[in-house]
Amino acid sequence: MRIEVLCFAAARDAIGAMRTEIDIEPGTTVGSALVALVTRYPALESLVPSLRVALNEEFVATSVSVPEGATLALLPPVSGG
Amino acid sequence: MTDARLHVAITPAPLDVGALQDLVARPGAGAILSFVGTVRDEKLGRRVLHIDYEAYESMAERVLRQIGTEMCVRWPECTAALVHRIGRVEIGAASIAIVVSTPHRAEGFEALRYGIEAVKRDLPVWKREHFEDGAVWVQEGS
Repeated sequence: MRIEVLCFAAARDAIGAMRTEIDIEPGTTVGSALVALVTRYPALESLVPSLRVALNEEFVATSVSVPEGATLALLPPVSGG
Repeated sequence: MTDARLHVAITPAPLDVGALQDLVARPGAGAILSFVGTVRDEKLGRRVLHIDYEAYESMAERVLRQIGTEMCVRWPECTAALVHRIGRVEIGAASIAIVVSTPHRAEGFEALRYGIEAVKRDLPVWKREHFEDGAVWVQEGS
């Protein structure tokens, strides 16, 4: 299945776009989806340890499965305020 | 909790703190407290020219609403407005404003402190500081 991936700040710079898509098997976890993204975009690798991930606009743990039609977002450490 | 007690926004427009204070004013409020975060002109001795703020806008609005809702749950007589600016913000201009009204000052200070610390921890917004010799994403809350 295909999911949408949104990337912000340094993660956006790393993949060269704010939005991309990846094909993953049903039942794939957020962590495995991250591994697939790093394979395609090696520049993400150094960011992964500090990334938080949101699924459909909610923070999630990497052990969560990605549901069909989900939007995954890669969020570097926030610096708002 | 009704929406009338909570106002949130992510906006490219300059922040109008006075308007937010008017928005949270209530006959039963004895205190209106504001936190306004502004853009500093230096970072570790380097001159900052301006800052660009990027947001995951739809999620940021949702997170602001979650933070404000939690403020209204923990301090039930609190009325709150939380607004974050995005895009280019000049030195001295406000990037965030959190304004609360409460019957008494003590719970107002507590609610305000809770709100800004939650924003610093969880709001999906990133700042890119522009220096004379380039720009960098800020990776830590500051």
